[in-house]
Amino acid sequence: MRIVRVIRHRLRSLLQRSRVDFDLQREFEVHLDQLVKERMADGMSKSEALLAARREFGSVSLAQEQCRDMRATNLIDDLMRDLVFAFRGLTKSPVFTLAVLLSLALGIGANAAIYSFMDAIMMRALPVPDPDSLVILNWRAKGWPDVMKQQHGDDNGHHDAEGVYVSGAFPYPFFASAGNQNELLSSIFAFASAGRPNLVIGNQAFLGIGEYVSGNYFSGLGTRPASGRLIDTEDDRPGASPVAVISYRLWQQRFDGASSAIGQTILVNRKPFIVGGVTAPGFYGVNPRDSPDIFLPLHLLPYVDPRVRHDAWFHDRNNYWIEMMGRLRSGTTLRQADVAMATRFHGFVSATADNDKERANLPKLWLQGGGSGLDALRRQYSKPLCVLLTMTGLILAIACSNIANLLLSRATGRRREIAIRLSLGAGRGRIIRQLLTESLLIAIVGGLLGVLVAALGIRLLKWLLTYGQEDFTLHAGIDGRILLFAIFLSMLAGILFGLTPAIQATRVDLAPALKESRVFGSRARRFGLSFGPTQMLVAGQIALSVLLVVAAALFVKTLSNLHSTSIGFNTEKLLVFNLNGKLAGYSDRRGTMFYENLRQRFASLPGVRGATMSDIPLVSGPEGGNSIIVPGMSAARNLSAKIAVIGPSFFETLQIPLLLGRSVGEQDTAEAPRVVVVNDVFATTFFPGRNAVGQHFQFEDKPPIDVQIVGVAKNTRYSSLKKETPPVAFIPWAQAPPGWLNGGMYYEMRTLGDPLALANTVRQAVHQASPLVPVADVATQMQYINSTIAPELTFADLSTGFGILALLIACVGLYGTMAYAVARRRNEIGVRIALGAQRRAVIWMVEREVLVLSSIGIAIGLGMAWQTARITASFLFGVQPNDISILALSAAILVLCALAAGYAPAWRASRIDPMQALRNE
Amino acid sequence: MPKPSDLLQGTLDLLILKTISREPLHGWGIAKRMQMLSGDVLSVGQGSLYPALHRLEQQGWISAEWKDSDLGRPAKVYSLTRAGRKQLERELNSWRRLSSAVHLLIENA
Repeated sequence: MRIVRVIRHRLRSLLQRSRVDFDLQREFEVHLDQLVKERMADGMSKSEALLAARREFGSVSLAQEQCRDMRATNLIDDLMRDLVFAFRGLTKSPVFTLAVLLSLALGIGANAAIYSFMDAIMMRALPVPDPDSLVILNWRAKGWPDVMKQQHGDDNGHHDAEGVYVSGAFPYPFFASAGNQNELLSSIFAFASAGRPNLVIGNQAFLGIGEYVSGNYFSGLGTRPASGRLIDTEDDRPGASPVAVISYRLWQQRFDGASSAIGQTILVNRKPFIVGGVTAPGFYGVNPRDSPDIFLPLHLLPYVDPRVRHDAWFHDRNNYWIEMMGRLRSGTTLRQADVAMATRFHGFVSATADNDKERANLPKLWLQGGGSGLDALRRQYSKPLCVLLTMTGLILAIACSNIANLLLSRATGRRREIAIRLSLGAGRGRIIRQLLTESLLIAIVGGLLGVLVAALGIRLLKWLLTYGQEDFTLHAGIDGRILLFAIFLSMLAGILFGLTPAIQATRVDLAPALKESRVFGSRARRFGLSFGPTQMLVAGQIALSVLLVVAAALFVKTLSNLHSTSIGFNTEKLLVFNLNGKLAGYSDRRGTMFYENLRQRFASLPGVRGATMSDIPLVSGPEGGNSIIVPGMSAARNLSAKIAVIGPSFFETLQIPLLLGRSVGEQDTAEAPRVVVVNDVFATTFFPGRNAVGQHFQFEDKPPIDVQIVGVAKNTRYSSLKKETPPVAFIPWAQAPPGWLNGGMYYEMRTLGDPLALANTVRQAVHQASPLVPVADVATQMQYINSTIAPELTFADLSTGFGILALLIACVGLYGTMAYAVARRRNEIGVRIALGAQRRAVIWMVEREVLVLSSIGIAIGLGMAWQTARITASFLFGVQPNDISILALSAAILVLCALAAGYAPAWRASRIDPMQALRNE
Repeated sequence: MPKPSDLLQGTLDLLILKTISREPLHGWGIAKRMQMLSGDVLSVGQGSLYPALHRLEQQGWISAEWKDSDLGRPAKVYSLTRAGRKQLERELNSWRRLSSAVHLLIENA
């Protein structure tokens, strides 16, 4: 009870101060009036009585003050007063304050957004118990090791910066032997990507992400099922009854999280599986890049994919395809396990080498900490993210300089006031506290705004980073850590950039500061250019801005280079999607019929001008090549051509001009003579100076396939915007050799209106034709192409944004500094004008200072840009990182912006009325 | 900052608590009552009564309310809270111990 009363009372004293003070006043009045009445009753006159009452009561104001002290809310009161004071001070220059707040918010927001991606991609631990004891098995070799006769898997294997070949793929027999009786690792489990299998649940077909896992995968990771049971060693053996584990997300999406899902049959590439269980929510396997929808036992690979022979995959010691992770026994170090496993692997591969050449370059095993899972994503994004984080860090630095600038100029402007307060006995600590309140107020408000910016920024970044990739899942978002990061950053900015000016401001020599005239300012600061901390900050800001502007210019130039490469066909209003008849059991002859029937159906849809198909999407697909034999050319030259399998009206629909001959069409059936259309590069490379139409050549195969060229098409980009057009042969779909259409068919539809508006119509048409065939990767041709240059697009967009941001923030700083300098020199400028200085000369005087400052900044910035050129080099296309024209352009932009920022204060200086300026004091 | 009064601080608190323990009183009444009961011996600078009242209120021993009063106008009337009553007991006890100790000391010295 008492506590409640006390709190209520204190709150009242705190929140209703004027009310409480008023009450006190009234209370005293009652008392005093009473005293007066008593005295008058004793016979005093009214004025005598008043005096006597005052005497008897004592000092009213002292009593009032003591009563206030009793309320003991001083600390909070002071803080409130400081806050109000700071607020008032800041709203006095609202534009600058707002600009500083905004720049801080943008700086912190951008950093927090990028940081959340860094966190998600590079730092987050796998959501399993004790992730730190997990290890990943890898090997490295000098280039491709010859003992590796085959390798499968998308991410398995890459050349690192030094040209060393690094891979995580192992032969299955090594996994089988390594798992037995390991004294250092408590378990070793394996997995392999199952790609994007066709899943059928109920009567819905769709492509999911699949993962084959060994029987001890889930127990090794230590994860528990959300429902049912997970795959165990009993499920993972040849001939076991097919059991699959589905992800929590799939369970929610397709089964509404019902427990009846367990035991249901689903189709994986048309093979029935029983749903055994559901993974824990948040579990995404071991690769932060993709979240498998379905986990299948490793040994059921041949069951799902009949092309896989059990012997070749599970007994061939030269076929590298499974990835492995393990868990350290407690007390074992990574180093110990590394040595032991390396020895084991060396013994294994030595026995698989047949000759000296193979023995010369054996892969060497090494262990890597696996706490945050596989690092494909980190490899892909760590460098871009570091560049982006550096950029946002620079922006934050520029923004913080603005805070420091604002506070410095305010503190300098208040030197006299502070000196007076110090001389009147104010404590230094108290004044520093007040100045700090101001900077922290900015920091906190800026930080809060920054969190908002970050939330928006994360969504924007997700969108930018996932350009056209539907299946890309990234676990980034605002969470406690990001909030902490933002708060930490803003507090750091506030204290770091607020404390120094505060301490400086209170360390004044009182006497001169007091004598200082309001008009002429400090004697220590001479007229004209002086290079104090403010100027240094501005020059620094400009230097950093130069860096960001140069980066932006480089990335934009890269993008425009990419976009201006001629693609060779019309990409407007072109819808592209993929479907695979094989997944529904249509193969070879029936498959080509299925594809062609669908194509005709698509072509007849309302709103469609034409429809064609090809086995790869142009400019954005994988490369498929074949060796060729051209009559009259030496076979020793290893001739080869890229291949595209195409449907009828391919050139017409894509609007690729035919230079010679005819297109391929419905007459080119499987029984008809084999024909191809080649591109111009093909014709000029292999038949220079001759008419290629009518010529024959052969695809190397067993036996070689002889084809006749019936047409030559204009060049188009083949697999990438960045690569020169290779020789390409276009093969009619009906004559494609068996197996060439395993990846399904891409359809290209030229539409009248928005291509994506037809997506559902297409899905329905396909569903009618076969409910088992899912439509995948529906997007416009431009989206397909843009997905191949996603990093460049992201960089161009973000760096342009960052560059403009940096410029704006730096200009705000420059503007503030100059405006402040002009205000301080008002009197001096007034005198100059009174003595006959031309207004233009005054403008020039101010702008000259701006020029000097920005030149210093630009010189430093260009120097830094030169030094850091090699970091950005790998992200550029068709432009050198120290391209003179880019550097010159950036410098020019900076100078213009600086002059523009300085013009307003300069103009104001030139308009100073000398009379007013001199009368000011 | 000068001390509120020459009285021992605790003593003033005790006197106020004791004074309003019989009936709720306004500041004027408390001052009068204390003057009367102590036979003008303990003449408190009347203004310094109020900081003490506010402190006691702050600590939750007494509560205050604006009421019509015998002065013919509303006045802020102080009354003892339940916690205040207990506090008064405690203070009385310690006062008694102290005064008897002092008494003993003076008698036997």
